Amino acid sequence: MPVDRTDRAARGGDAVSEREDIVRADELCVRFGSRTALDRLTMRVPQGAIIGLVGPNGAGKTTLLRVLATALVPSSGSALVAGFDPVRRPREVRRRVGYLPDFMGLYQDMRVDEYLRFFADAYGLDAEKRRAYVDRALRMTGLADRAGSFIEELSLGMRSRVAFARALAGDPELLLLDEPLSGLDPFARTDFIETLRGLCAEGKSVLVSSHQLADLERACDSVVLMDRGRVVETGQQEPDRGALYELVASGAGGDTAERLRAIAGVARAEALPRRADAFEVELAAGTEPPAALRAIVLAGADVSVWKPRETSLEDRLRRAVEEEGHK
Amino acid sequence: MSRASNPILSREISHRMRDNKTFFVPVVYLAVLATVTLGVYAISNWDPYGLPTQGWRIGDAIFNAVSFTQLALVLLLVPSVSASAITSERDRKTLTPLLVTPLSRTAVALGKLVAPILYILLLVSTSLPFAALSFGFGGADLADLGLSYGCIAAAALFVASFGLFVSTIMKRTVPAVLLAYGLIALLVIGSLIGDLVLNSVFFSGGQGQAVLTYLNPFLPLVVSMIDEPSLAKELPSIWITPALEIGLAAAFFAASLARIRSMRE
Repeated sequence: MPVDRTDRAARGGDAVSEREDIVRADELCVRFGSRTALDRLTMRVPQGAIIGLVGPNGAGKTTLLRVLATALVPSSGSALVAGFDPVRRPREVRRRVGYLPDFMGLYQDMRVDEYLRFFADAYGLDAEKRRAYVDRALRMTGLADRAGSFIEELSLGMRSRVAFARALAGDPELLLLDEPLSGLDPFARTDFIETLRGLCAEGKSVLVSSHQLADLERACDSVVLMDRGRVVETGQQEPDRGALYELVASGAGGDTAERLRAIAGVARAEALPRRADAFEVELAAGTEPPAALRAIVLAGADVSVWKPRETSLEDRLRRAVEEEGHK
Repeated sequence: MSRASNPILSREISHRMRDNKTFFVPVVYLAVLATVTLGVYAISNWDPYGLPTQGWRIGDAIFNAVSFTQLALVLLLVPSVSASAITSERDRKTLTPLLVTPLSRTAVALGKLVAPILYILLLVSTSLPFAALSFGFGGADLADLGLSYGCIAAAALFVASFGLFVSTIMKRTVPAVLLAYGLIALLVIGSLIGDLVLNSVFFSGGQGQAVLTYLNPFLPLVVSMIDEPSLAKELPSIWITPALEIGLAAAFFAASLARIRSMRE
């Protein structure tokens, strides 16, 4: 199995140096009145990686990004972004971070290039660097031929690209992107993922939240699953889980799923939707699939299909949220 | 501060000059001043016996009328511009992208304060031909002109600074602008009523005292109009109100800066 280079980092608490982690969050709490948006969240983001933030609405993804971008002060806990505390040294953090919130926040009455120059000035870039940034940002976002257009004249997708181009001002070490894929067509999403990968190859780090799970899977080195203000799972592979198989079987009698769960080596068995004889079977960690299959057959099941089943990010998220709900 | 060194100021100026109202407002402003000038000229020049009026009287009347009208127009225009400085950014959701840049909060506050003042100075400068009419007729000199425009500038600075402060404490533009207009009403009308009440309570037996009226932006113009040497000792100083306005402007700017510094989004 390939080693997930970011797996260790997103867990928190590992012995990694501050230089290796562009983001270190420890026991972060954010409360809005009686509601807890972040609940003692601890995580790490290594330099040069694309980390996806996934979770249902209200999981705390946006709140986390706001804290890291210095747009929100946490109620308690600590964080380091590019080596600086976002609460005590916000300007140092702002110099090193490009933040794209979950809304565009564009000046509609400005032209695209004029808007980017404005933000270059806000980052204090000199004339040469400003020109280089504007040219590069326009090229990367495919907006070069719309540089002179007023932002209000652009389509939703193009405005998203302007907002992303804005986040690149100041040549940030870390990009914090909140729902950057919304409003983009499939081709633009693919281009966007390629752009992120290009930035990552330059050594930049990206923490990106999105509900476009398939795109996140393609884009990210690793994902952090969040629910109710906490990290519930991290890494590219599901940790401490056995293999997942699709089983089509009959003749086991009674409640087949219940009988499957009773077999040694089967950690979980759930009926799949739309078919009464199809099941998703998760093996107990360390169980060899042939041994499990043998046990299922010996239990009286007439097996017609036994094939590995890929876990999608959506499956993982659903399961993680369900498990979190049962705690 | 140059435009280049303050992107906020640069953006505010270009935004204002691009707005359709940029040309509409000066047109209305000058139309009002022209109407007032013509009206005052007609009234000053009218004599029941058909005798010619002395030129300096016409010039003096035009100068005073233009000064009062300009101050009134400035007090009407500044709050709508300054009190929306930060709230409009909130309304358009452009504040967060701005605040997460390393741009200093002082630059943000200064840009937001200076831009409306520059706009008002542009407007006021367009009125110079009207004020110059009084030089032709006589009745006003450069010192009067300097005093009048200085009083207008001090009042504009004070109201702009208060408007900026209001925009930092309010969430929405409309309540912020209404609050700023409330202050203007309080200064212009409330100060007079307040002094009437104070005088009736504390100075009923003797001579009245102007206390709150010093906050009235029109006071220096009224005092400068009174050209009666015998009253000179009893009149309040024309410098107190502009000095108060500048002091309060500094205080409100400092408060605005503190608010903007503590802002996250």
